[in-house]
Amino acid sequence: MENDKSLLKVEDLKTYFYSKEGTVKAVDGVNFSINRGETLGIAGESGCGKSVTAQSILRLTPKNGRIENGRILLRTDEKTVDLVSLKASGDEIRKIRGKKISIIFQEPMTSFSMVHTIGSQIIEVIRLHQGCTRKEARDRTLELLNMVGLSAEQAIDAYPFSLSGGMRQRAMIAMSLSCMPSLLIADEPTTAVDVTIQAQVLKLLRRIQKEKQMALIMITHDLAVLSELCDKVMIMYLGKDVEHAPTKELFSNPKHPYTKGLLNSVPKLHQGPRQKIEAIKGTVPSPYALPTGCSFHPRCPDFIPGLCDKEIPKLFDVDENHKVSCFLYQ
Amino acid sequence: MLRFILHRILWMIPTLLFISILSFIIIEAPPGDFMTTYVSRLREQGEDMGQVTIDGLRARYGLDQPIYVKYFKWIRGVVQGDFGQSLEWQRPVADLLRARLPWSILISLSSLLFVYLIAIPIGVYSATHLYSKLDYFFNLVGFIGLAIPNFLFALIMLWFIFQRTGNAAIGLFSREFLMAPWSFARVIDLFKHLWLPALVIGTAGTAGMIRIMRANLLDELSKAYVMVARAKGLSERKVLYKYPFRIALNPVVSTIGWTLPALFSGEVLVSIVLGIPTIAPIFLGSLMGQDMFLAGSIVFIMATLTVIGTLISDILLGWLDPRIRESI
Amino acid sequence: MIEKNKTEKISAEKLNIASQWKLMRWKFYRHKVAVFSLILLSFFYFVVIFGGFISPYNARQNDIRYKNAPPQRIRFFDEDGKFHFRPFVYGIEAEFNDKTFQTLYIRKTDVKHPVYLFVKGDPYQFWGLFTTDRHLFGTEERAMFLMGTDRMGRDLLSRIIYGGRLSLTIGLVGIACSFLLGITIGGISGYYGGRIDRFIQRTIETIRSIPTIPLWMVLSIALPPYWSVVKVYFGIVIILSLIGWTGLARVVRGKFMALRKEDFVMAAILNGASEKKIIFQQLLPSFSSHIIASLTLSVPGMILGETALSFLGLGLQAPAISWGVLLKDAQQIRVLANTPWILFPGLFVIITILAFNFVGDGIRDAADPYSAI
Ligand SMILES: Nc1ncnc2c1ncn2[C@@H]1O[C@H](COP(=O)(O)OP(=O)(O)OP(=O)(O)O)[C@@H](O)[C@H]1O
Ligand SMILES: [Mg+2]
Repeated sequence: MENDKSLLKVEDLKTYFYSKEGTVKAVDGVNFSINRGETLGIAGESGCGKSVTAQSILRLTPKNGRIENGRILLRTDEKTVDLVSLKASGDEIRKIRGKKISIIFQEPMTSFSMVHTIGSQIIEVIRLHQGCTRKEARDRTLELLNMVGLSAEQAIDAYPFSLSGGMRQRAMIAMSLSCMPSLLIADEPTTAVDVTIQAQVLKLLRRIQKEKQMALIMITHDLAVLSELCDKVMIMYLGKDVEHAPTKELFSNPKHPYTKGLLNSVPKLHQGPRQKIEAIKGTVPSPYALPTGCSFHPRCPDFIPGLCDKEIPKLFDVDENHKVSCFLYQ
Repeated sequence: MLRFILHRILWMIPTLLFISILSFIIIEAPPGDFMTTYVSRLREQGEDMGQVTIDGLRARYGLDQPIYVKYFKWIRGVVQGDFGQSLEWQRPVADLLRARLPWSILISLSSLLFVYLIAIPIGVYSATHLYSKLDYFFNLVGFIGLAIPNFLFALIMLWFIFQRTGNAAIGLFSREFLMAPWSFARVIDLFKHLWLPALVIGTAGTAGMIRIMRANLLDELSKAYVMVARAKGLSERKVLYKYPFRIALNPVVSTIGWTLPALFSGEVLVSIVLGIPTIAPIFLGSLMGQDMFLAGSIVFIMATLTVIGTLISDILLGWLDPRIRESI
Repeated sequence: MIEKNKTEKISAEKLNIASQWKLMRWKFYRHKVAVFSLILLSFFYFVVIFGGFISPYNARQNDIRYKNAPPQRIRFFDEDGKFHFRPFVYGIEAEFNDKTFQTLYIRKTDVKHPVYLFVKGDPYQFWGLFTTDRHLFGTEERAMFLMGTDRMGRDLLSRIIYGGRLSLTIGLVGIACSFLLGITIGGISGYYGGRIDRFIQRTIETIRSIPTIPLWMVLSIALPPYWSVVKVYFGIVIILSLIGWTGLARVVRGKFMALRKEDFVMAAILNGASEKKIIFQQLLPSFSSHIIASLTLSVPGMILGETALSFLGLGLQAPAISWGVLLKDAQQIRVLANTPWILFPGLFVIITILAFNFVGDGIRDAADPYSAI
């Protein structure tokens, strides 16, 4: 690995789903890397493969999905492992899950088993990875629940159905932090909770991330979250990474027509009520029948006939940290 | 939890009341009463009873009182364990039941055990090996199991065993153990006979249960907490058994409520075909002979047992699932 | 303006339902086993409807020459492997073995009975319209027993076909009755909710906690012994549906509960449509597919009920012929061991129930909007 600091490096990752109706190329060639203590945002429309990317990293894709190509390199203290080469339910990946890399999922309502207490579900992780006694694990759990701002003594013996969505998501964060992972993947942790809770959860994540110097992959389609939380951003469209840039740069100087469209489609806070809001024209194509060439070309305002619909653009460098996969920047 | 159990028990009382009324209607329903049948049978045999004797007997059995008085008399007796007199057997109904009910319960419980022992592992296998060859196979077997009437299956098994061994697989004991006192060998002999009714009665239930278990587990496996559990680093076994399996089991437990009546139904038919001395044969006999105290009591007992079974399954469910426990 | 909008919306709903039926049919056709089962069932009912004509003999015609005769095969090739254009059955003759005291049938390969179409045989009434003696197929002499005969020499195949008349229809008629009861009571329960609903649910729960077979058995003895076959038949139907309605009522209630909250019912209520209209024009069509599925799936229970009761001697009785009545002969192990073919009616019971289950399953899957297309 050329970059010394990078903790996780994903190279040309492809994850496909197979079903009777056809093949879905949910992730179709994604590259990124993240350093220790850094925050990477992944954004894109619904269905572009953000969650599948996250699941692929931990080898959690459902049975009908398969990683077809690529490497996922994780640097641990001793060595670097390629997660793709591990067995999906083997011992090695299991020692990474929850310990080195944790993940918070989209659905706080069903992320906990309803018939076990919050405490028992957290204690389980701690005991699994750190092999401590029940008492130690319980104390540690109380500490964690306190840290995420829950009244720990109550929450630990509560059943998930008696907690609100926001409280559950906090508990989820507590669980994901229980073994102090070096990387936390948060897959839209706030879509399912209401606005005030969203702000709290995000604040909490940022605080903990700063405190623990943990790397964070923040998946969202909320651009405000990106700008507030992330050091750098990756934009995805139909399973491909279309643009990489530091957050400030991306918002001030978006390059890919899709990114521009994405930024234009949300109202900006500082421009008053009269601003133009433009939706990206057209709709996302069916995942079973992807367009040829650049998959964005049917919706692209800057479409170059003969090029965009024929060839697939690779990532071109705009500058050292800014990459975009579009022929306009060849 | 105690509150929950109490609540459930209170909940049972109206049901039991309803059942008792229904059973009593059964006792009273047939045109005429037992004396009519009894007298006409005696007549057929050439004997004749004077009207005075008949009225005397009527009064003795309380057959001449208004219906609600009879009901209260009956229910008071039932509460004290006195189910009235079987006019056909000339014995207290309670005595007859005492001798035979344990066998009915034993057979029904063995079938229940059979159902769960077979259905749960197969359901789990089918759900985790979706659309595999064995999954299809179990599905087909399940369909056939649902389609074979209990008594027909019993007949087929009888015939099959008779063809193979030349013995009729009838009853619960071999001849030499029939009257023998309890011994280890007798228990073994009992088990040698018990598997057949358990298999025959349980098959239909097993088929249904496999479907339920499979569907439930599939449902649970698709939920987010399964992936969360995997993401924690748990082994596949634990991911399956600690969470989704455990939760999928709840509806299975709650089906005891309708599995039990089905098993009792099956038990009645199969015991008659296989000649097992449970309450089934005397039930059939009591119906044929219009011995309604016996018939009504048997219906009452069977229904009560199912209600108790349902109660147990409710309590079990409350214990397994905090959502249910805390919903009252 | 608002009025117009509403009607538009409702007619749009109707359109929606129409195309839903089409989609359902299409999904059902993809269910190969279900389609095959449906064809098979149609065939059974067809045979039963033309039972007098299709069955080779009168089901009650006994024949002391052929008591307990085993099933025969229709052959095109004889013992020597020679092909005969006209199919035939071999003659059989009873032979009494004085060691075992059993009658055994031996095949007489020198006697061939050719099988003809439209042969003359036992007279029968065609649908009560006229009397005729033509049968679809058979031999000139009474000698063809494809499923064997019973202890009185009656042809089992003919008996099964005649028995199908009662056994196959009892399920349908029973379902019609349960349907009426279930949809009325379940509808009331689900539509009004509240206390009425609780009371009805409690009653249903109680009825279901009583094992059905014993309850059926008890109820069946209320049928007076002097009743005619037709009366007993309807008596049994009523007994079966007295319990069968509960399951259906639950389905209906659940649907009503769910649908009460749906938009188009709200729209109809706001529109001032009378309650009856709401129920019959909007609620019923939208879940009739589910009802049909549960109806189909409860036919087997009815058939099983009749068969079990008749088998025990509590349902239809001997001069009447039903599959259960036929199976009653198999109660003795001796009889069963010597003439196992008397289990043939059971085979038809199994096939029928299987087919109904497959069809019901197919409909249910097709009616489920979330199932994969
Ligand atoms: N188990 C699966 N089987 C088949 N296809 C799947 C499966 N999981 C995801 N997909 C497909 O993969 C594509 C990407 O899905 P993914 O969940 O990653 O989207 P996403 O970017 O996370 O969207 P959202 O913002 O809605 O969460 C979608 O087209 C989806 O239909
Ligand atoms: Mg997602």
